[in-house]
Amino acid sequence: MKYFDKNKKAGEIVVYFFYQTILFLIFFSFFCFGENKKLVYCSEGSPSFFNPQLASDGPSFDVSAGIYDRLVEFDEERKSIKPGLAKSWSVSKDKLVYTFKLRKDASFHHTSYFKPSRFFNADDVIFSFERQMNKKHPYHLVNGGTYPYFNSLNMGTLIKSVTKQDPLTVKFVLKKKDATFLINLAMEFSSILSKEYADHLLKIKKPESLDFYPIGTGPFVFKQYIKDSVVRLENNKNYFRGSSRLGGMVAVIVPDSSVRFQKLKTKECDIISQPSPVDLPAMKKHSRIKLVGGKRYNIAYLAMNVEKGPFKNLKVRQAVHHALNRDLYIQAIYQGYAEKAKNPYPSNLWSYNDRVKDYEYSVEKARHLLKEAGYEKGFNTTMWTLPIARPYNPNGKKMGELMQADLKKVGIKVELVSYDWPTYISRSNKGEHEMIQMGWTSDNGDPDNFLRVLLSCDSVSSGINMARWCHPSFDRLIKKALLVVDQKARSRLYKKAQVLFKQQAPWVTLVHTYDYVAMLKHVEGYNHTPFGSKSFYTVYFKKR
Amino acid sequence: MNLSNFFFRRFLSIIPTLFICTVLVFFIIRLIPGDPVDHLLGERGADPELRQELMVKWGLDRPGYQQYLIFVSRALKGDLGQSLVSGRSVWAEFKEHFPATVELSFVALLFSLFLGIPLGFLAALKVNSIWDFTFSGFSLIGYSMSVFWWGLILILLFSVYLGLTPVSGRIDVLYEIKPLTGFMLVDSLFTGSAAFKSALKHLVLPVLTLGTIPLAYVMRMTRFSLLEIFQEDFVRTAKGKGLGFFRVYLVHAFRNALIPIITVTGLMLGSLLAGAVLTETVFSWPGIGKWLVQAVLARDYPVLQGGILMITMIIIMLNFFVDLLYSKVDPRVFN
Repeated sequence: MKYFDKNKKAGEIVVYFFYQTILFLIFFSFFCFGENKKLVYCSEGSPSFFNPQLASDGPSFDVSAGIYDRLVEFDEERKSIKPGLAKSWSVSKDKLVYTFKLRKDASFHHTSYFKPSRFFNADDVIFSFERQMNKKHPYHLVNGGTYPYFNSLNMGTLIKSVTKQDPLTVKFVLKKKDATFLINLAMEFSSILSKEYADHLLKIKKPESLDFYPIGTGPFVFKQYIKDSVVRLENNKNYFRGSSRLGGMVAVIVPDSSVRFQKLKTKECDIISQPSPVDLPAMKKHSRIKLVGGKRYNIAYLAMNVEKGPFKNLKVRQAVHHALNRDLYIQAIYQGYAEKAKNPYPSNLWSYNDRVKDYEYSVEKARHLLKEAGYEKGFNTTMWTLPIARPYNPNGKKMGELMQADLKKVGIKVELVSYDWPTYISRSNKGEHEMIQMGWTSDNGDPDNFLRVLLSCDSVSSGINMARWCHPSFDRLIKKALLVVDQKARSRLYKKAQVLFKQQAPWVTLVHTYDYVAMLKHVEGYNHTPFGSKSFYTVYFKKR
Repeated sequence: MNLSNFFFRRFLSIIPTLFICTVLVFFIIRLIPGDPVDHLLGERGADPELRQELMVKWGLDRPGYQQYLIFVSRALKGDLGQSLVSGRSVWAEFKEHFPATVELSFVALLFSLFLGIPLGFLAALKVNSIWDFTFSGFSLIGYSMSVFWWGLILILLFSVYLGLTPVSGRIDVLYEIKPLTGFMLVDSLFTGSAAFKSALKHLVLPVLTLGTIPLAYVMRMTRFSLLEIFQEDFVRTAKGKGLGFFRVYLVHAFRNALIPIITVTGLMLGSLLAGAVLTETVFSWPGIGKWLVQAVLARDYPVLQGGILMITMIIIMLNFFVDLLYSKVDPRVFN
């Protein structure tokens, strides 16, 4: 009997372990093969840096957005600001001093190439901004030191100082009031890097590694980059907001858009960037694919150089606007996935003035205006067409040919000219063009970033004002708006500026494009932003 | 002229070849308007002060001849400089991209030789027959094919409709391969047979795409060369002496027809190494062609100078190797 009991006990133990093993396997398989699958994102190009401070290309932002955090962040719709690495902030009465209280629980990534010894603190914030603004900083010129967004938004001339009040409090002092300052801190270029890591790299004389082997506080940890091939990111299990529901992320570089589409069809990619407008109808019909996206904060325009020939004459500029059939371009170039532009920025941006009267397509009106301007028989001119596909214009040459045909109808004979991209930029910044195709994607979603950057008198000398149009009344309005904090008051000023801009017609406002990413239907949680930048932190796989 | 004399002369000719190549690349890229700063900043433009600082930092403010001398003196010490775009050493980037191109080109070349020579041989044997017309017709089509179009058609057929091959890349992204040699077929072996199989599957379409034109060329060259040899007296004599098919065609005729095929193969490998850019773009293959084209667009001077110097040296080495093969096939070449 005793012998029998012993055997029974042994049997129970075996059964117990059997069930435990089954439970463990179920648990294990849930983690390995269930929800926590790696996301395969097929990107259009290689990231040039793993540091958004230096980058100006989409692939760099897409990857590094998950590696770093900012002091403040945009909410999901990017309409307001929420805490990031700063848990709270206060602004002085004169709007010149911003004081941020920092989180104490944000840790930098532990990787094979660096193990941090401390949590994030004020030193890291000071380092991240000093590098960009202080020309004598040991890291300022490392890896080119161009800081395209920081400089484009004049942050260097705006910030007077960044100082530490205590390890978890940091103070920004500005030289002048700027209503866009807080928004700019939520932009990718304001990402916070580890000072401890930077000091370590200086010590071992490898400062260049800072921008290629990144250490951030974000939801994904850099693991491997094989140039022009693949970037691997792991899940940050210590992320202060809680770790991502993905098992990590693999960004595969696939430059050709039609190949990206084929890879999505064969499930080699879960998400693809920049689908070609030609493929969008097929993607919409596909049973396993969905499109996520919408309007983007951008503009494609044709600038007329007001310093040259007939374009000095307002009536000629207005005639060109009337002569171009933009509805046709939307169908032919964008396959209908764009909105006709009336103002310098799209209607989903605050302060958009819908009362502005657009120049409708009318050959008659164009001819009449040319006659009034003294160009009854037309004239000869040149148009520079974009040499590469840009997010706001996928085919500059084809659009140029359509414009050439339209302008010929009113007697303007256009010779199309194109240079490769660096030449195009360098010569147009010097004002060598007569008409030029160009465009812009907003840095921060503020109207100032369109009006002041592209159309102010200051931007004529820097070369970015492609129309080289400097209008004192317009300039006064946009400068005044920058000093006003109240959004309604600013909005009134910008609406007036838009009326003036349209009346003076330095550009033909062409289109605002729609921006999409295509993904497999079981991918959920992806939030589209009108800036075009991508965040994969909230993405997960739906159970099938 | 004996063999060692020949090689000594060839060795001496390397110096002016390298000099001319480096001078041409160095100055032509600088003659094109626009510079790396323009490319880096795009629509956003550059602050003139920052532009000047960068030009000084990158040494681009100096006169052209000084920049060239600095480049040559560093290259002689084995330093090819740093990429202006990525900040990494040109040599490190070259090492990353070159094995991918070698792997692809080499397999494509093997594919074109192993298929092209027998087919060309068959077409020559059955001249003016249905076989000859079929193979010659296909080779003409293959020779005139647009690589970009052909690659996409193959993807649609084999990957999307039949599901037999992956669309692009070098290996399934879920295999984390450590780049030990840079050759995916070799590196994947350390991970396991499944990874190796995946690497092999990923090679199929790029090889078919890249190998089609060389295949057509080899086939036409073999046919043409054999038809000429078949008219020679020694072939007629061999036949008259009653030698068998194998000895007449494969030993006597084929061996003599090999010289132009070897020449073409050597030249083809050179052009495959430097010119696989379209195939690399379609199949997202991280090779040297795409790397150099991107460097031209970004005005990344050090990458262009260093990359083309390395490729020139490799092509010269390949030509040496081809010469060596000549001596094995037909020793009269050196007499």
